[in-house]
Amino acid sequence: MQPSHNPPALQLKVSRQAQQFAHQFSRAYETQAKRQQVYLNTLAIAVVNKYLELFDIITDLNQSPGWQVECQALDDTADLHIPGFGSLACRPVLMNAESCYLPPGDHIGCVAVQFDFDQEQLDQQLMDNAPLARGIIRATLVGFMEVATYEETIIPLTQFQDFTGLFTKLSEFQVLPAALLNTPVPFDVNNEKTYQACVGQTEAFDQLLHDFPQIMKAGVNVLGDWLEGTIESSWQTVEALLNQPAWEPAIAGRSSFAVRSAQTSPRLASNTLERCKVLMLKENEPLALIVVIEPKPTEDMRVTVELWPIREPQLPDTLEFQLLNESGIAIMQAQAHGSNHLLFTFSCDPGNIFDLKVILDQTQIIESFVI
Amino acid sequence: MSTNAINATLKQFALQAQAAPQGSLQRRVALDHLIRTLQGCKLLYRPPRNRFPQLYEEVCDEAMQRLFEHICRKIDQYNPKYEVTQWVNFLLKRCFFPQAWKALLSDHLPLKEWDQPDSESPSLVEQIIEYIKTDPEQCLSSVQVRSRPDITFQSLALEILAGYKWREIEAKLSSPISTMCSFYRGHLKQFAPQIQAHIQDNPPS
Repeated sequence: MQPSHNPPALQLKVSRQAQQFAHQFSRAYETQAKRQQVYLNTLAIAVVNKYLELFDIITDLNQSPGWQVECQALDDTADLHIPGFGSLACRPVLMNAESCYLPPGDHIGCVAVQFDFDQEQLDQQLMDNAPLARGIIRATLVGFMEVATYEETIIPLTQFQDFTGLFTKLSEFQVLPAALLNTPVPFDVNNEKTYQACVGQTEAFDQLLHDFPQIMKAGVNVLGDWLEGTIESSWQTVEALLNQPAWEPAIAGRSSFAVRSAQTSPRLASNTLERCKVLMLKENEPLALIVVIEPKPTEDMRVTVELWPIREPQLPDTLEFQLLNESGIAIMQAQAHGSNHLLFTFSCDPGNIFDLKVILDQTQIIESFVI
Repeated sequence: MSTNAINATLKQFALQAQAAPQGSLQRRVALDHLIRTLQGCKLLYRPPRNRFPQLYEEVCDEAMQRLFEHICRKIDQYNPKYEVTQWVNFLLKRCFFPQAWKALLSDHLPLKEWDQPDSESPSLVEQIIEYIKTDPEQCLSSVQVRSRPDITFQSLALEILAGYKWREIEAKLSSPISTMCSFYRGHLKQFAPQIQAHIQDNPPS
């Protein structure tokens, strides 16, 4: 059933909150060794807790020895309590380490968590009175191992297996409470209603963009919204563009864009929507980016994107036009080389994402779209 | 692996997860494999670096974490008509990157307090350390390891508080770990509530 290869171990970021706890818990100790022990144990337990949360595995952090100040102080513990199951030792491992130290104790298993810092960086981080370093900490969930012994053990990291063993053991114990099975759905790309809810959720982000426009130069153009009549004002009809005084003299001349507009517009089907935007990659070389969308009776949508010079009869020779897929890989590309326009036509399904990239010499503009 | 092979693998894990009931072993294993494969696949959307110049790596990590949570909870929403990467990249671009950025921005403000050392009153840890050192109720030093009267609960607690590992304590005191550890852990269970009660009843002045 499973493919033969084993995917790489999962890496999670250590939340700022966990880092904050780790500092709080460790700060008051008198020796560097104890501070480091408590700091690392706290991070390890927080990461494993986060990981198990992903799988709806119920843990009780507050009842966990590793999270109680008395136990942290008077023992070396990063034990996470899993109700109805027992204690899972979450053992921290530094970068470059090849084994994991498991103190003696009553554990049902051990999870090794490897951090992306070494001893020297840890020393730096926890130096007396040093200001708290707020770097990103990443933790790799090396794996799980069942432990039967009460003894102190050093376990080579290569002996850890993936989490199937833990999940198997757990499935014999924990039963999910019904409440968890009915959590509300935040958004669903395939469902119009919840999709709208998702779009709604980004309103606050739009406000943020408005306040800090430098964060993200290009927003995402949602073509589904276009069909419902919500179109950003930077996208205008071709007629509106032609009627703009700024472009009038050019268009009155021999601009191929004007010629195109005279020919194309009447032949548009009634359900087709056409919008254009002026791109300025170079002074005095305005280009018109035209997006034409045509919904189909089936779910997909035909999209035509065109690039025209507004002033000149031809596009600049070195101009490049690319269609990128959701991974940023160019799936269609063209160079102007004397053309009077460039054009791509393709069909898209709901949820598809694509970017248009226009490059002229050292300058580029990216417009992002989602259907 | 080629993009097609990765997409096929991802789809296989997603379908396996959907086919198994929530909370089942099969679903957990399939989801675990799915997110690990996704993390390693290099086909995921990342915004241009200049969009988040200061916090780029952190925004990416945060968005990925949100993505994993979403996948694990909402795998049933995945429509197998599309590739998993299409679904996931849509979510990253439209939802999780904006959300991650917003969360990190708001997260940055209260963190200033982190640097402030706990001001006036001693922390719980300091009170515990004080209790162990002074043994105000004269109980910690009265329990001894059998045949080793020099090893008391208090002396072991002080070693642990200093951050020594059992191995090191064993070497230091020339007594087997198993003996000391079971002695210590047994009495810790007994003393922990007592220490807690004492600290509560005697707040630092």
